[in-house]
Amino acid sequence: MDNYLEIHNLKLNHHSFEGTRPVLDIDHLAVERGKTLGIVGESGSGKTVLALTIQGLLQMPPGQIESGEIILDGQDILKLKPREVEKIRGQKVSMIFQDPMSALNPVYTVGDQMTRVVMERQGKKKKKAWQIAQDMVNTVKLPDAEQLMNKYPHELSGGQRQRIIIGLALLCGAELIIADEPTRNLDVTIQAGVLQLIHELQQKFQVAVLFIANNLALVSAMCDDVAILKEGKIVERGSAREIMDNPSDEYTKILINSVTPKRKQNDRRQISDERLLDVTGLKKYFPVKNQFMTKKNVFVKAVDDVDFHMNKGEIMGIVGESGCGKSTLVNTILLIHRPTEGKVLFDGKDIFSLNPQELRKARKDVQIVFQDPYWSLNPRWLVKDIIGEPLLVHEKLSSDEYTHRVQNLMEIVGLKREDIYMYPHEFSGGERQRLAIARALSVRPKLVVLDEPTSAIDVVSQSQMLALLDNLKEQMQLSYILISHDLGVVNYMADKIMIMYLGKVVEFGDSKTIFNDPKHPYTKALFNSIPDLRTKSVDDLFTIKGEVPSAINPPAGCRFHPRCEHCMGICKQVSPETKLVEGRYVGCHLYDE
Amino acid sequence: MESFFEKMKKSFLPKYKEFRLSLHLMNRNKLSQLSMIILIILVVAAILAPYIAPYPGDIYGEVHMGSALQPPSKDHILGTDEVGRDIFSRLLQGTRISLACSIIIVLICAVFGAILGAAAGTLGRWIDDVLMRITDIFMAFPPLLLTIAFSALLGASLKNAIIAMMLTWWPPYARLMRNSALTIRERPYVKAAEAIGTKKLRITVKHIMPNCIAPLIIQASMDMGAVILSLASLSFLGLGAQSPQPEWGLMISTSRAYFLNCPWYSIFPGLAIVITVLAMNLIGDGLREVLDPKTKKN
Amino acid sequence: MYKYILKRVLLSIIVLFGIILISFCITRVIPTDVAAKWAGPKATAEQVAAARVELGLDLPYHQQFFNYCGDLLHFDLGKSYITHRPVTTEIMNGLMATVELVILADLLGLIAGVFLGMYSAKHKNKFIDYICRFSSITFVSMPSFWLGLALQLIFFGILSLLPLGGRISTAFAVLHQLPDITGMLLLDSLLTGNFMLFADALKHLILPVIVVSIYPTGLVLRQTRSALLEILNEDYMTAAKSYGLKDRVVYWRYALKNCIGPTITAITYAFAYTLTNTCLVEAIFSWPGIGKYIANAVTNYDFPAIMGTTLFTALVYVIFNLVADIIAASDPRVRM
Repeated sequence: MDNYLEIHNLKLNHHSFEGTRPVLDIDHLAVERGKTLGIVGESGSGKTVLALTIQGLLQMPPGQIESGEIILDGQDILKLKPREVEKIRGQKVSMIFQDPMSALNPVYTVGDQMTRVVMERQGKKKKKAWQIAQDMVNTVKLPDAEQLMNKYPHELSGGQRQRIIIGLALLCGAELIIADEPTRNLDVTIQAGVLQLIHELQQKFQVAVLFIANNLALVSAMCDDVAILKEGKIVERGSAREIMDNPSDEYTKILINSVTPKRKQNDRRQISDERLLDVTGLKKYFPVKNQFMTKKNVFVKAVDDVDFHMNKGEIMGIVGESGCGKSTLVNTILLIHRPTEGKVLFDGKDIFSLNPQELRKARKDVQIVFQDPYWSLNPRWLVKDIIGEPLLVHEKLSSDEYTHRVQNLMEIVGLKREDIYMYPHEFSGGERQRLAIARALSVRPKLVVLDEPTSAIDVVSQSQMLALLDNLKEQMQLSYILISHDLGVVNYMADKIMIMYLGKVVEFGDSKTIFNDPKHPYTKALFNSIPDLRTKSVDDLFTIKGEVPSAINPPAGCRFHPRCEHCMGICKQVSPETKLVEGRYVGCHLYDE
Repeated sequence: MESFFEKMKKSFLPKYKEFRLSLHLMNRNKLSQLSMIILIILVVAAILAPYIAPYPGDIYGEVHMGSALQPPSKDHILGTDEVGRDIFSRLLQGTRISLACSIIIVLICAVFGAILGAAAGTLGRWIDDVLMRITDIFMAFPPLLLTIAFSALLGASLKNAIIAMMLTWWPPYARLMRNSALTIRERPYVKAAEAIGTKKLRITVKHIMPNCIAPLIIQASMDMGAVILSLASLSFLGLGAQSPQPEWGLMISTSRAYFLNCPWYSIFPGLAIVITVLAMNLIGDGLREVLDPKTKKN
Repeated sequence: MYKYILKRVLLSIIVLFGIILISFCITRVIPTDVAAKWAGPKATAEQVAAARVELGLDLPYHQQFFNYCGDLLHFDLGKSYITHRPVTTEIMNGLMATVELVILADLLGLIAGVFLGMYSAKHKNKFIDYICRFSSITFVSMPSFWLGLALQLIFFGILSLLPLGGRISTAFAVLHQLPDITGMLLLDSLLTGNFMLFADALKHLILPVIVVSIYPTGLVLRQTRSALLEILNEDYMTAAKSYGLKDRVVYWRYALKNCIGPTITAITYAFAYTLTNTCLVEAIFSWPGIGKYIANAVTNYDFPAIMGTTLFTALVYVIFNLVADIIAASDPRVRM
């Protein structure tokens, strides 16, 4: 075995005034020359700390290495002087950072930053270096390299920035590249392309890659070997296949299950024929503010002519990439935004024509649970005030009744009754999300909107959360609108599903039908661009060319046409009507009569 | 069922714990701990000034020409001024004037600015534009100059100086409040409150304002010192307190005529200013460390 | 970029208009009778009435405002109550003395502040850092007029090293023909090669410059330090190191350019405070500049002089702010 990187008995602590906390405790870890090792772990498991430590970039203090060795190409970097480590960085090891926005210096152009690296690393003159940098922009498959080089980071899209960062890591000529969740902040259709790029370049440049991610499926598709990191310890390691097929550790099993939650049996669910929500022709345009010296009114067409409906007791999933308008859609239905146009019938009432008094009453029936459990609870309030706020607004209760109701709610969501006198920051992410659910349920709503309810919490809590939501639905006869980018979750929960692209509905219907046989080219691409455990290699993934265009000036005709491989003449001119095709609504000219 | 008292205790306890934690965090910084002690001493001195001053009569008009301009001695630990008044007694009373003025000015400016800022931040549209342009204009004057102009035109007196300072010190608060209100307004918990059907005024007062308060408190604690400095400067120019009020700036101004021969007369009032302002600034610094989310994160 | 500059300029004009409006309001709303002041304490009723007409106070407010703006366009800030000379002329007389003081003090503050701030950030939490932080806070806590007195006491009273005040020694003013090229004595003496004068002027400058520069130093030090510390923690700094760029390059090229913005903000604040502090310091050091002029005007309740100089200083500050904003726009994020 020819190991490029070996870690032995690494113990690392974090010092603060509250005391010392162990962060990493790794007995053994090795990356072979030219191979890929994947590390899977959740946030807080010490992944990024590991990545920084290998490069001697961890801030010490508060970090402190207790013992161990990190052998990089035969040298123990923990024994080297800072000046020597500085030499190794870039030459032997380099890194692709997680957040493409903050990893690029905002005050220099992309070209300047790349050129600087070439000049420093390869000792080239400025002109030559610029040329090399430009070649690299081509290598990472970005069009218009020349123009791009003169742009500032904030002028690029997330996918473009991440490609530049990959290019930067390659430019310094390192033999080991650490990729720290390189696709975490990217949309799924962009993610596939970036993953394929990393894979391809790894083969081409023959570098070893340490691939860090929080998603097992992603890692298994990318890597030869996999190690599972939990709370700073490696709980399992081996070849990717082996671990997927035959996990031995409990935690690994949970991770595997979280990727493919078993689809629930639909039999016991009674869906009534009663309409709960009927949305027709809903539009929401935001005016673009502060356009200096322009008279024309410019709008972001966040939601553009959306129709859908759901019955009582149903769970409806809304799927789409960021910027597709799914959040705006539900915010408009919740009347957090005023609609530009359209009609929403909720429980038979036209909610846009209600007077303020009726509206406040109607609001009781629709509640929302937000994605981020940190910011969705007012940090200065006690739990009893947070959960009880809807009660205070809508019901007149005596102080005892109030406390009693709040405590009952705590119990319903699986928290302790006496914890109502605590602040939200004293709870974990999963528990906070439960608090948010308790608040939503306090006024016994008919419909609850779940905006990515599981994406910001850890895997173990995720499955519990889904089970809880399922339970509550039966108990309290709720209906859900579930927004998620995690198709596994949607597949597990939803009865109906709606796929959105750039403010438009592209496909809408029964979730089983659509999952089994997607019709719209975008739906197909979306479903196939996300790796699952069966994905052998990232090259099997489906990618969509280009980037999501701006909603300020969406493409004419079908909004997906610039990226669609089935694009026809008519797609460029006429926006497709949604029509019923094999039991679901599709908005695509492919299915025109 | 729990008694009312018990419930109050239970909801109060966590708030107290939070406060203790903040205090603990702030006390990690030894300098701000020291300043806290100094400030407490100053406040006590200010409250008790007329009672603990060794020569209470000297605080205002008494004249003892026989003991004029004496250097520090056992009888007068900080010496005496040109009409024989005890400087220490007058400094004590000066603490009272300075602290009271700065508290009044900062409090009123902060409240007024916060309300204006919250209105601009939550109502938006043209109200925001108009209010922010007005603060822009006020902040376009170099800080003390507008105050000098106002108080000169109102006429020289301590009361007018305070009014002039109030007229010119609110804009930073309005701007701070408005900027944080804009951020907080987008937080999910505000959206959740809107979805519940909470009234706009309640959202502003209960959700937005409490969460904007941190930068305001930092600014206010820094401004306490700055206000004392500015007031002393005004008095020095002859615009603020008038003789025989024992205001620090005014004392330095009077002492100018004698300072080469009687340095103590100028030095001690100045030291009083420096110590007070320094203590307030250090506390502001400590507060920033505790309240600023950037530093609290870890 | 041009669009951004244009936007800034337009905004400055709005602000300027606001400033004029406020100063107009102040002069008209004040509880004192301007005409009576103008005519003097012994004036008869007829004289006051005549003064009212002469000053245009009998016209309606909008007419008065219109005239006020018209006067300003001709750089007419009114006439002093005391000397009955145009305020503009008197400001111009003191202008260069103040400019000399302010420029030197701000430059000193800027250089010392930036340098110490960087040094302090680089040695974070070491002893030297604590010293720098403590002094930066002390610097902004000190009343400049008191510091001036204290320094005079030490360097003139005790050590007899430096003069008490003024721009040059009386002997020089009497014996020599003073050069008047730029109005800044230090520069003029160099231009004419008069090194004796240069040394004398420099001696007179040292104390006032130090006193005025204390505040900017503290402010800039503090701002540079915290901005730099924040930037050093950014991902792109770690990234740059990870690409194998040398620490030195990362520190000088990447970090410093990013901290231009916050430092410029600190400088504009500092500049505003120096403009204010000069009133106090010039009064202490008998420096014949605008600041001393204001201080005198305040003592004499010379309203046109007070308002004129306030307006003039505000104008200077607005222009300074505009320039600072444009410089800060070298950071592409600002332009968005």
